[in-house]
Amino acid sequence: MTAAPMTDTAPVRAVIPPAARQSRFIRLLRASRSWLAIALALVIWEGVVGWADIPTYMLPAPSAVIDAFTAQPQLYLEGLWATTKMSLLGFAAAIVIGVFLAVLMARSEMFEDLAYPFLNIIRVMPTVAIAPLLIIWFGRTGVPIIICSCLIAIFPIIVDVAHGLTSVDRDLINMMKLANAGELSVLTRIRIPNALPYLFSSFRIAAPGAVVGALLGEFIGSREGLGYLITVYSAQLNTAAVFVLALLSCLLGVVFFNVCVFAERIIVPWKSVVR
Amino acid sequence: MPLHQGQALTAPHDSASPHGPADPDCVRLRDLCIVFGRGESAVVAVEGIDLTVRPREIVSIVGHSGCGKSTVLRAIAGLLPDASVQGQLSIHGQTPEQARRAGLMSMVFQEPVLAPWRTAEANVQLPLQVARGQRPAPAKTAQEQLELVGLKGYEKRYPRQLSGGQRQRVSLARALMMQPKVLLMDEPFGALDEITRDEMHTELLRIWGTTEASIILVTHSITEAVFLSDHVLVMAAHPGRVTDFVTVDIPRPRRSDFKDTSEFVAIQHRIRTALEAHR
Repeated sequence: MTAAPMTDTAPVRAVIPPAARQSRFIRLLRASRSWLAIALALVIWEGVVGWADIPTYMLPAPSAVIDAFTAQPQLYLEGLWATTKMSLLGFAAAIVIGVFLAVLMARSEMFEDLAYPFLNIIRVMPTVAIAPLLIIWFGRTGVPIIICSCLIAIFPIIVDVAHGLTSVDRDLINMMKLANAGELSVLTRIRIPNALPYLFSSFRIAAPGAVVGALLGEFIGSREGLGYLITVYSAQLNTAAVFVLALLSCLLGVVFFNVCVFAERIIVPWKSVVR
Repeated sequence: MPLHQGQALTAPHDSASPHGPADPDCVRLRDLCIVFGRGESAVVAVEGIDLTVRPREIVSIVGHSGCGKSTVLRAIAGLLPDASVQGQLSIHGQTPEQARRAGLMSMVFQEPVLAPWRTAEANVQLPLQVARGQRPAPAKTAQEQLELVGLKGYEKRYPRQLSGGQRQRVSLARALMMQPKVLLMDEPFGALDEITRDEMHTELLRIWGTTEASIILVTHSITEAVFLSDHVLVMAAHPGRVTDFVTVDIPRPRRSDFKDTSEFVAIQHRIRTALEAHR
Protein backbone atom coordinates (compact mmCIF):
# COMPACT_ATOMS: atom_id res chain seq x y z
CA MET A 1 0.00 0.00 0.00
CA THR A 2 1.32 3.42 -0.90
CA ALA A 3 1.14 6.46 1.32
CA ALA A 4 -2.36 7.94 1.21
CA PRO A 5 -2.79 11.68 0.70
CA MET A 6 -3.10 13.54 3.98
CA THR A 7 -6.50 14.98 3.10
CA ASP A 8 -8.33 11.68 2.70
CA THR A 9 -8.09 10.36 6.22
CA ALA A 10 -7.97 11.97 9.61
CA PRO A 11 -4.38 12.09 10.96
CA VAL A 12 -3.50 9.32 13.37
CA ARG A 13 -3.29 10.54 16.94
CA ALA A 14 -1.09 8.91 19.52
CA VAL A 15 -2.88 7.56 22.58
CA ILE A 16 -1.73 9.21 25.79
CA PRO A 17 -1.62 6.59 28.55
CA PRO A 18 -3.80 7.61 31.51
CA ALA A 19 -2.07 8.74 34.67
CA ALA A 20 -1.64 5.88 37.10
CA ARG A 21 -1.27 7.12 40.67
CA GLN A 22 -0.21 4.73 43.35
CA SER A 23 -1.90 5.09 46.69
CA ARG A 24 -0.07 7.15 49.29
CA PHE A 25 0.39 4.12 51.50
CA ILE A 26 2.20 2.17 48.76
CA ARG A 27 4.44 5.13 47.96
CA LEU A 28 5.30 5.64 51.63
CA LEU A 29 6.08 1.96 51.96
CA ARG A 30 8.32 2.09 48.91
CA ALA A 31 10.21 5.14 50.17
CA SER A 32 10.85 3.68 53.58
CA ARG A 33 11.48 0.06 52.61
CA SER A 34 15.17 -0.02 53.58
CA TRP A 35 14.32 1.42 57.04
CA LEU A 36 11.50 -1.06 57.42
CA ALA A 37 13.92 -3.90 56.69
CA ILE A 38 16.22 -2.69 59.48
CA ALA A 39 13.29 -2.30 61.90
CA LEU A 40 12.07 -5.79 61.06
CA ALA A 41 15.54 -7.23 61.69
CA LEU A 42 15.65 -5.52 65.11
CA VAL A 43 12.24 -6.91 66.03
CA ILE A 44 13.31 -10.44 65.06
CA TRP A 45 16.56 -9.99 67.00
CA GLU A 46 14.69 -8.84 70.12
CA GLY A 47 12.24 -11.73 69.77
CA VAL A 48 14.89 -14.42 69.26
CA VAL A 49 16.96 -13.23 72.25
CA GLY A 50 13.87 -13.21 74.51
CA TRP A 51 12.48 -16.54 73.23
CA ALA A 52 15.79 -18.47 73.38
CA ASP A 53 16.77 -16.76 76.65
CA ILE A 54 20.29 -15.86 75.44
CA PRO A 55 22.35 -14.28 78.24
CA THR A 56 23.17 -10.58 77.71
CA TYR A 57 26.96 -11.13 77.80
CA MET A 58 26.57 -13.46 74.78
CA LEU A 59 24.17 -11.41 72.69
CA PRO A 60 22.35 -8.39 74.12
CA ALA A 61 18.87 -7.64 72.78
CA PRO A 62 18.39 -4.26 71.04
CA SER A 63 16.56 -3.00 74.12
CA ALA A 64 19.58 -3.86 76.29
CA VAL A 65 21.86 -1.98 73.88
CA ILE A 66 19.63 1.09 74.08
CA ASP A 67 19.60 0.83 77.87
CA ALA A 68 23.39 0.66 77.93
CA PHE A 69 23.59 3.83 75.85
CA THR A 70 21.05 5.82 77.87
CA ALA A 71 22.76 4.82 81.11
CA GLN A 72 25.84 6.95 80.33
CA PRO A 73 25.41 8.78 76.98
CA GLN A 74 28.00 11.41 77.98
CA LEU A 75 30.79 8.80 78.04
CA TYR A 76 29.94 7.34 74.65
CA LEU A 77 29.50 10.69 72.92
CA GLU A 78 32.86 11.92 74.27
CA GLY A 79 34.45 8.76 72.89
CA LEU A 80 32.72 9.33 69.57
CA TRP A 81 33.98 12.92 69.45
CA ALA A 82 37.58 11.85 70.22
CA THR A 83 37.51 9.25 67.45
CA THR A 84 35.93 11.72 65.02
CA LYS A 85 38.75 14.21 65.66
CA MET A 86 41.46 11.57 65.13
CA SER A 87 39.78 10.26 61.97
CA LEU A 88 39.45 13.75 60.52
CA LEU A 89 43.10 14.56 61.24
CA GLY A 90 44.24 11.23 59.78
CA PHE A 91 42.06 11.70 56.72
CA ALA A 92 43.31 15.26 56.19
CA ALA A 93 46.93 14.11 56.50
CA ALA A 94 46.22 11.31 54.00
CA ILE A 95 44.76 13.78 51.49
CA VAL A 96 47.65 16.24 51.75
CA ILE A 97 50.46 13.66 51.69
CA GLY A 98 48.67 11.36 49.22
CA VAL A 99 47.98 14.09 46.66
CA PHE A 100 51.53 15.40 47.00
CA LEU A 101 53.03 11.94 46.41
CA ALA A 102 50.60 11.28 43.55
CA VAL A 103 51.65 14.51 41.80
CA LEU A 104 55.32 13.53 42.14
CA MET A 105 54.61 10.02 40.85
CA ALA A 106 52.59 11.33 37.91
CA ARG A 107 55.31 13.83 37.04
CA SER A 108 58.30 11.51 37.19
CA GLU A 109 58.45 7.89 36.17
CA MET A 110 61.70 7.52 38.10
CA PHE A 111 60.08 8.67 41.33
CA GLU A 112 57.21 6.26 40.73
CA ASP A 113 59.61 3.34 40.21
CA LEU A 114 61.61 4.26 43.32
CA ALA A 115 58.61 4.95 45.57
CA TYR A 116 56.36 2.01 44.71
CA PRO A 117 58.38 -0.71 46.49
CA PHE A 118 58.39 1.31 49.73
CA LEU A 119 54.70 2.10 49.44
CA ASN A 120 53.94 -1.55 48.81
CA ILE A 121 55.94 -2.64 51.86
CA ILE A 122 54.03 -0.20 54.07
CA ARG A 123 50.81 -1.27 52.39
CA VAL A 124 51.14 -4.98 53.01
CA MET A 125 52.60 -4.63 56.49
CA PRO A 126 49.62 -5.05 58.87
CA THR A 127 48.74 -1.81 60.64
CA VAL A 128 48.24 -3.92 63.78
CA ALA A 129 51.97 -4.67 63.64
CA ILE A 130 53.00 -1.08 63.01
CA ALA A 131 50.79 0.45 65.71
CA PRO A 132 52.74 -0.84 68.78
CA LEU A 133 55.92 0.45 67.15
CA LEU A 134 54.34 3.86 66.66
CA ILE A 135 53.36 3.89 70.34
CA ILE A 136 56.97 3.15 71.33
CA TRP A 137 58.12 6.06 69.17
CA PHE A 138 55.46 8.65 69.92
CA GLY A 139 54.03 7.49 73.28
CA ARG A 140 50.37 7.34 74.18
CA THR A 141 49.52 10.55 72.37
CA GLY A 142 47.25 11.21 69.42
CA VAL A 143 50.11 10.91 66.92
CA PRO A 144 50.15 7.10 66.52
CA ILE A 145 46.37 7.12 66.08
CA ILE A 146 46.55 9.79 63.37
CA ILE A 147 49.34 7.86 61.63
CA CYS A 148 47.32 4.61 61.70
CA SER A 149 44.32 6.42 60.27
CA CYS A 150 46.44 8.09 57.60
CA LEU A 151 48.17 4.82 56.65
CA ILE A 152 44.91 3.10 55.82
CA ALA A 153 43.38 6.09 54.03
CA ILE A 154 46.39 7.13 51.96
CA PHE A 155 46.77 4.26 49.51
CA PRO A 156 43.52 4.57 47.57
CA ILE A 157 44.19 8.32 47.36
CA ILE A 158 47.70 7.91 45.93
CA VAL A 159 46.70 5.25 43.42
CA ASP A 160 43.53 6.95 42.15
CA VAL A 161 44.91 10.48 42.02
CA ALA A 162 48.07 9.35 40.18
CA HIS A 163 45.79 7.56 37.73
CA GLY A 164 43.61 10.67 37.32
CA LEU A 165 46.59 12.94 36.74
CA THR A 166 47.96 10.73 33.97
CA SER A 167 44.75 9.69 32.22
CA VAL A 168 44.34 13.02 30.45
CA ASP A 169 43.43 13.19 26.79
CA ARG A 170 46.70 13.38 24.84
CA ASP A 171 45.30 15.89 22.39
CA LEU A 172 44.22 18.20 25.20
CA ILE A 173 47.87 18.25 26.30
CA ASN A 174 48.90 18.81 22.65
CA MET A 175 46.50 21.74 22.48
CA MET A 176 48.18 23.20 25.56
CA LYS A 177 51.62 22.69 23.99
CA LEU A 178 50.54 24.55 20.86
CA ALA A 179 49.32 27.38 23.08
CA ASN A 180 52.87 27.40 24.51
CA ALA A 181 51.64 26.52 28.00
CA GLY A 182 54.13 25.68 30.76
CA GLU A 183 54.23 22.44 32.73
CA LEU A 184 52.71 24.19 35.74
CA SER A 185 49.72 25.41 33.72
CA VAL A 186 49.17 21.90 32.36
CA LEU A 187 49.23 20.58 35.93
CA THR A 188 46.94 23.15 37.49
CA ARG A 189 44.53 23.71 34.64
CA ILE A 190 44.29 20.24 33.09
CA ARG A 191 45.74 17.45 35.20
CA ILE A 192 44.44 18.43 38.63
CA PRO A 193 40.85 19.19 37.52
CA ASN A 194 40.94 15.93 35.57
CA ALA A 195 42.03 14.06 38.72
CA LEU A 196 39.26 15.50 40.94
CA PRO A 197 36.62 12.85 40.12
CA TYR A 198 39.28 10.19 40.81
CA LEU A 199 40.10 11.85 44.13
CA PHE A 200 36.47 11.70 45.18
CA SER A 201 36.04 8.10 44.17
CA SER A 202 39.11 7.27 46.24
CA PHE A 203 37.41 9.02 49.18
CA ARG A 204 34.67 6.41 49.12
CA ILE A 205 37.28 3.88 50.24
CA ALA A 206 39.64 6.21 52.08
CA ALA A 207 37.13 8.02 54.33
CA PRO A 208 35.70 4.92 56.07
CA GLY A 209 39.29 3.60 56.05
CA ALA A 210 40.42 6.63 58.05
CA VAL A 211 37.79 5.79 60.71
CA VAL A 212 38.89 2.15 60.84
CA GLY A 213 42.54 3.24 61.18
CA ALA A 214 41.74 5.63 64.03
CA LEU A 215 39.76 2.91 65.86
CA LEU A 216 42.66 0.52 65.43
CA GLY A 217 45.15 3.04 66.80
CA GLU A 218 42.92 3.69 69.82
CA PHE A 219 42.46 -0.04 70.29
CA ILE A 220 46.18 -0.55 70.71
CA GLY A 221 47.29 2.50 72.61
CA SER A 222 45.03 5.27 73.84
CA ARG A 223 43.08 6.49 76.85
CA GLU A 224 40.10 7.84 74.97
CA GLY A 225 38.00 7.22 71.91
CA LEU A 226 35.64 4.45 70.80
CA GLY A 227 38.50 2.00 70.17
CA TYR A 228 39.82 2.41 73.72
CA LEU A 229 36.34 2.01 75.25
CA ILE A 230 35.84 -1.22 73.28
CA THR A 231 38.96 -2.72 74.89
CA VAL A 232 37.74 -1.65 78.36
CA TYR A 233 34.19 -3.02 78.05
CA SER A 234 35.09 -6.22 76.25
CA ALA A 235 37.52 -6.98 79.11
CA GLN A 236 34.58 -6.49 81.49
CA LEU A 237 32.34 -8.72 79.33
CA ASN A 238 29.96 -5.74 79.07
CA THR A 239 28.71 -6.88 75.69
CA ALA A 240 25.85 -4.38 75.50
CA ALA A 241 28.33 -1.48 75.83
CA VAL A 242 30.56 -3.05 73.15
CA PHE A 243 27.53 -3.15 70.86
CA VAL A 244 26.86 0.53 71.51
CA LEU A 245 30.46 1.36 70.66
CA ALA A 246 30.45 -0.80 67.53
CA LEU A 247 27.24 0.86 66.32
CA LEU A 248 28.68 4.33 66.94
CA SER A 249 31.79 3.34 64.95
CA CYS A 250 29.54 2.20 62.06
CA LEU A 251 27.66 5.48 62.27
CA LEU A 252 30.89 7.45 62.06
CA GLY A 253 32.10 5.49 59.00
CA VAL A 254 28.73 5.89 57.25
CA VAL A 255 28.67 9.64 57.94
CA PHE A 256 32.22 10.03 56.57
CA PHE A 257 31.26 8.10 53.45
CA ASN A 258 28.10 10.09 52.81
CA VAL A 259 29.71 13.47 53.41
CA CYS A 260 32.28 12.55 50.72
CA VAL A 261 29.57 11.43 48.29
CA PHE A 262 27.69 14.67 48.92
CA ALA A 263 30.84 16.78 48.41
CA GLU A 264 31.53 14.89 45.19
CA ARG A 265 28.16 15.86 43.75
CA ILE A 266 28.80 19.53 44.52
CA ILE A 267 32.45 19.78 43.51
CA VAL A 268 32.62 17.56 40.41
CA PRO A 269 29.21 17.96 38.75
CA TRP A 270 30.70 17.24 35.29
CA LYS A 271 31.42 13.65 36.20
CA SER A 272 29.05 11.63 34.06
CA VAL A 273 27.21 8.79 35.71
CA VAL A 274 26.09 5.94 33.51
CA ARG A 275 23.92 3.20 34.95
CA MET B 1 71.20 17.59 -0.55
CA PRO B 2 72.24 16.93 3.03
CA LEU B 3 69.45 16.56 5.51
CA HIS B 4 69.55 18.50 8.73
CA GLN B 5 67.24 17.51 11.49
CA GLY B 6 64.54 20.04 12.11
CA GLN B 7 66.48 22.81 10.38
CA ALA B 8 64.46 25.82 9.39
CA LEU B 9 64.55 26.99 5.83
CA THR B 10 65.30 30.67 6.01
CA ALA B 11 64.11 32.79 3.15
CA PRO B 12 67.30 33.61 1.21
CA HIS B 13 65.99 36.61 -0.69
CA ASP B 14 64.44 38.56 2.14
CA SER B 15 65.21 37.24 5.57
CA ALA B 16 64.52 40.60 7.19
CA SER B 17 60.75 40.27 7.00
CA PRO B 18 59.78 36.64 7.13
CA HIS B 19 56.16 37.56 7.81
CA GLY B 20 55.88 40.17 5.09
CA PRO B 21 54.58 39.81 1.58
CA ALA B 22 58.16 39.37 0.30
CA ASP B 23 58.00 35.81 1.67
CA PRO B 24 54.79 34.39 0.31
CA ASP B 25 55.44 30.91 1.64
CA CYS B 26 53.71 30.29 4.87
CA VAL B 27 54.50 26.64 5.49
CA ARG B 28 57.25 24.91 3.55
CA LEU B 29 58.24 21.24 3.71
CA ARG B 30 61.24 19.99 1.74
CA ASP B 31 62.19 16.31 1.66
CA LEU B 32 60.38 15.73 4.93
CA CYS B 33 61.00 12.23 6.29
CA ILE B 34 59.71 10.90 9.59
CA VAL B 35 61.31 7.82 11.13
CA PHE B 36 60.23 6.30 14.43
CA GLY B 37 62.56 4.07 16.44
CA ARG B 38 66.10 3.12 15.54
CA GLY B 39 68.03 0.16 14.18
CA GLU B 40 66.05 -2.90 13.18
CA SER B 41 62.84 -1.72 14.78
CA ALA B 42 62.87 1.61 12.92
CA VAL B 43 59.69 2.45 11.00
CA VAL B 44 59.71 4.93 8.15
CA ALA B 45 56.38 6.68 8.59
CA VAL B 46 56.78 9.31 5.91
CA GLU B 47 59.36 9.74 3.16
CA GLY B 48 60.16 12.70 0.95
CA ILE B 49 57.21 15.05 1.35
CA ASP B 50 57.40 18.41 -0.42
CA LEU B 51 54.68 20.92 0.24
CA THR B 52 54.29 24.66 0.09
CA VAL B 53 51.35 26.43 1.60
CA ARG B 54 50.91 30.12 0.89
CA PRO B 55 49.15 32.61 3.16
CA ARG B 56 45.38 32.23 3.25
CA GLU B 57 45.42 28.97 1.36
CA ILE B 58 43.61 25.82 2.33
CA VAL B 59 45.55 22.66 1.59
CA SER B 60 44.16 19.19 2.30
CA ILE B 61 46.08 15.98 2.78
CA VAL B 62 44.09 12.87 1.87
CA GLY B 63 45.07 9.23 1.94
CA HIS B 64 44.18 5.83 3.30
CA SER B 65 44.43 5.42 7.03
CA GLY B 66 47.98 4.68 8.10
CA CYS B 67 49.56 6.67 5.25
CA GLY B 68 51.12 9.12 7.70
CA LYS B 69 48.95 12.13 6.92
CA SER B 70 48.29 12.89 10.58
CA THR B 71 51.97 12.33 11.32
CA VAL B 72 52.90 15.04 8.81
CA LEU B 73 50.47 17.41 10.52
CA ARG B 74 51.96 16.61 13.92
CA ALA B 75 55.46 17.23 12.55
CA ILE B 76 54.38 20.67 11.36
CA ALA B 77 52.87 21.32 14.80
CA GLY B 78 56.17 20.35 16.41
CA LEU B 79 54.51 17.59 18.43
CA LEU B 80 56.91 14.85 17.32
CA PRO B 81 60.29 14.18 18.97
CA ASP B 82 63.01 16.16 17.17
CA ALA B 83 65.04 13.03 16.43
CA SER B 84 62.28 11.51 14.32
CA VAL B 85 61.91 14.43 11.89
CA GLN B 86 64.35 14.80 9.01
CA GLY B 87 64.44 17.29 6.16
CA GLN B 88 63.41 20.90 6.15
CA LEU B 89 60.31 22.26 7.72
CA SER B 90 59.58 25.92 8.15
CA ILE B 91 56.60 27.95 9.29
CA HIS B 92 56.98 31.61 8.38
CA GLY B 93 60.72 30.99 8.20
CA GLN B 94 60.84 29.45 11.67
CA THR B 95 61.18 25.96 13.06
CA PRO B 96 58.00 24.37 14.42
CA GLU B 97 59.35 24.88 17.95
CA GLN B 98 59.91 28.61 17.37
CA ALA B 99 56.59 28.97 15.59
CA ARG B 100 54.86 27.33 18.52
CA ARG B 101 56.52 29.71 20.98
CA ALA B 102 55.46 32.63 18.81
CA GLY B 103 51.90 31.35 18.79
CA LEU B 104 51.67 31.07 15.01
CA MET B 105 49.81 27.76 14.97
CA SER B 106 46.81 26.19 16.54
CA MET B 107 45.16 22.87 16.01
CA VAL B 108 41.72 21.28 15.84
CA PHE B 109 41.57 17.55 16.48
CA GLN B 110 39.16 14.83 15.46
CA GLU B 111 37.65 14.89 18.93
CA PRO B 112 36.78 18.31 20.36
CA VAL B 113 38.99 17.62 23.45
CA LEU B 114 37.28 20.23 25.59
CA ALA B 115 37.83 20.39 29.34
CA PRO B 116 34.54 19.03 30.77
CA TRP B 117 34.87 21.18 33.90
CA ARG B 118 34.93 24.42 31.92
CA THR B 119 32.04 26.20 30.21
CA ALA B 120 32.20 26.79 26.46
CA GLU B 121 33.44 30.32 27.10
CA ALA B 122 36.08 29.22 29.62
CA ASN B 123 37.28 26.54 27.21
CA VAL B 124 37.74 29.14 24.48
CA GLN B 125 39.68 31.37 26.89
CA LEU B 126 41.99 28.58 28.04
CA PRO B 127 44.79 29.00 25.42
CA LEU B 128 45.16 32.70 26.20
CA GLN B 129 45.19 32.06 29.95
CA VAL B 130 48.11 29.66 29.69
CA ALA B 131 50.17 31.17 26.84
CA ARG B 132 53.61 32.32 27.93
CA GLY B 133 55.45 35.23 26.39
CA GLN B 134 54.28 38.30 24.57
CA ARG B 135 51.10 37.93 22.57
CA PRO B 136 49.16 40.50 20.62
CA ALA B 137 45.94 41.43 22.37
CA PRO B 138 43.15 39.14 21.18
CA ALA B 139 41.11 40.67 18.39
CA LYS B 140 37.94 39.11 19.72
CA THR B 141 36.71 38.16 23.15
CA ALA B 142 35.78 34.55 23.77
CA GLN B 143 32.14 35.59 23.56
CA GLU B 144 32.63 37.17 20.12
CA GLN B 145 34.60 34.15 19.00
CA LEU B 146 31.73 31.87 20.01
CA GLU B 147 29.30 34.15 18.20
CA LEU B 148 31.47 33.83 15.07
CA VAL B 149 31.20 30.06 15.13
CA GLY B 150 27.43 30.31 15.62
CA LEU B 151 27.19 29.58 19.33
CA LYS B 152 25.78 32.86 20.63
CA GLY B 153 23.86 32.16 23.81
CA TYR B 154 25.76 28.95 24.56
CA GLU B 155 28.65 30.60 26.46
CA LYS B 156 27.71 29.20 29.85
CA ARG B 157 26.96 25.67 28.67
CA TYR B 158 29.25 22.83 29.68
CA PRO B 159 30.57 20.48 26.96
CA ARG B 160 28.20 17.71 28.09
CA GLN B 161 25.27 20.04 27.40
CA LEU B 162 26.33 20.55 23.76
CA SER B 163 25.89 18.33 20.70
CA GLY B 164 28.87 16.83 18.87
CA GLY B 165 28.77 19.52 16.18
CA GLN B 166 28.49 22.30 18.75
CA ARG B 167 31.45 20.92 20.69
CA GLN B 168 33.55 20.91 17.54
CA ARG B 169 32.52 24.53 16.96
CA VAL B 170 33.77 25.39 20.46
CA SER B 171 37.01 23.61 19.62
CA LEU B 172 37.31 25.72 16.45
CA ALA B 173 36.61 28.92 18.40
CA ARG B 174 39.32 27.94 20.89
CA ALA B 175 41.81 27.41 18.05
CA LEU B 176 40.93 30.80 16.53
CA MET B 177 41.38 32.55 19.88
CA MET B 178 45.15 32.23 19.31
CA GLN B 179 44.81 34.20 16.05
CA PRO B 180 46.90 31.58 14.28
CA LYS B 181 48.71 32.16 11.01
CA VAL B 182 48.42 28.43 10.39
CA LEU B 183 45.41 26.40 11.46
CA LEU B 184 46.10 22.68 11.54
CA MET B 185 43.05 20.44 11.39
CA ASP B 186 43.29 16.69 11.95
CA GLU B 187 40.12 15.09 10.56
CA PRO B 188 38.10 17.76 12.35
CA PHE B 189 34.73 16.59 11.08
CA GLY B 190 35.50 12.87 11.10
CA ALA B 191 33.41 12.19 14.20
CA LEU B 192 30.35 14.09 12.94
CA ASP B 193 27.36 12.74 11.03
CA GLU B 194 27.15 13.57 7.34
CA ILE B 195 24.46 16.25 7.58
CA THR B 196 26.32 18.12 10.33
CA ARG B 197 29.56 17.67 8.43
CA ASP B 198 28.16 19.26 5.24
CA GLU B 199 26.95 22.16 7.33
CA MET B 200 30.37 22.54 8.97
CA HIS B 201 32.09 22.71 5.54
CA THR B 202 30.28 25.92 4.56
CA GLU B 203 30.62 27.20 8.12
CA LEU B 204 34.37 26.64 8.10
CA LEU B 205 34.74 28.57 4.83
CA ARG B 206 32.65 31.44 6.23
CA ILE B 207 34.68 31.57 9.46
CA TRP B 208 38.00 31.21 7.62
CA GLY B 209 36.96 34.20 5.48
CA THR B 210 37.09 36.40 8.59
CA THR B 211 40.62 35.28 9.60
CA GLU B 212 44.10 35.54 8.14
CA ALA B 213 44.91 31.89 8.61
CA SER B 214 46.14 29.27 6.21
CA ILE B 215 44.60 25.88 6.84
CA ILE B 216 46.24 22.49 6.52
CA LEU B 217 43.50 19.91 6.75
CA VAL B 218 43.96 16.18 7.10
CA THR B 219 40.91 14.23 6.00
CA HIS B 220 39.80 10.92 4.59
CA SER B 221 36.84 12.48 2.84
CA ILE B 222 37.55 13.31 -0.80
CA THR B 223 34.43 15.50 -0.99
CA GLU B 224 35.59 17.51 2.01
CA ALA B 225 39.09 17.94 0.56
CA VAL B 226 37.89 19.14 -2.86
CA PHE B 227 35.18 21.40 -1.52
CA LEU B 228 37.40 23.23 0.96
CA SER B 229 40.85 23.28 -0.58
CA ASP B 230 42.99 25.22 -3.01
CA HIS B 231 45.28 22.19 -3.29
CA VAL B 232 44.92 18.56 -2.38
CA LEU B 233 47.94 16.44 -1.52
CA VAL B 234 47.25 12.75 -2.11
CA MET B 235 49.33 10.31 -0.07
CA ALA B 236 49.97 6.57 -0.20
CA ALA B 237 51.26 4.32 2.58
CA HIS B 238 54.34 2.11 3.23
CA PRO B 239 56.14 4.43 3.37
CA GLY B 240 53.95 7.52 3.47
CA ARG B 241 54.62 9.45 0.28
CA VAL B 242 52.97 11.89 -2.11
CA THR B 243 51.33 10.32 -5.15
CA ASP B 244 49.47 13.30 -6.58
CA PHE B 245 49.07 17.02 -6.04
CA VAL B 246 45.77 18.38 -7.32
CA THR B 247 44.91 22.04 -7.64
CA VAL B 248 41.25 22.93 -7.24
CA ASP B 249 41.07 26.01 -9.43
CA ILE B 250 37.55 27.07 -8.53
CA PRO B 251 37.01 30.65 -7.36
CA ARG B 252 35.71 31.42 -3.91
CA PRO B 253 33.26 31.92 -2.33
CA ARG B 254 32.12 28.37 -2.89
CA ARG B 255 28.61 27.29 -2.05
CA SER B 256 27.43 23.84 -1.20
CA ASP B 257 25.93 23.34 -4.70
CA PHE B 258 29.52 23.36 -5.97
CA LYS B 259 29.55 19.76 -4.82
CA ASP B 260 27.07 18.91 -7.61
CA THR B 261 29.03 20.44 -10.52
CA SER B 262 30.84 18.39 -13.17
CA GLU B 263 34.18 20.09 -12.34
CA PHE B 264 33.83 18.94 -8.77
CA VAL B 265 33.09 15.38 -9.85
CA ALA B 266 36.07 15.41 -12.25
CA ILE B 267 38.49 16.49 -9.52
CA GLN B 268 37.03 13.93 -7.12
CA HIS B 269 37.55 11.27 -9.80
CA ARG B 270 41.20 12.22 -10.26
CA ILE B 271 41.88 11.96 -6.55
CA ARG B 272 40.05 8.65 -6.25
CA THR B 273 42.09 7.29 -9.15
CA ALA B 274 45.31 8.38 -7.46
CA LEU B 275 44.21 6.73 -4.22
CA GLU B 276 43.26 3.46 -5.93
CA ALA B 277 46.46 3.30 -8.00
CA HIS B 278 48.61 3.14 -4.86
CA ARG B 279 46.77 0.94 -2.44
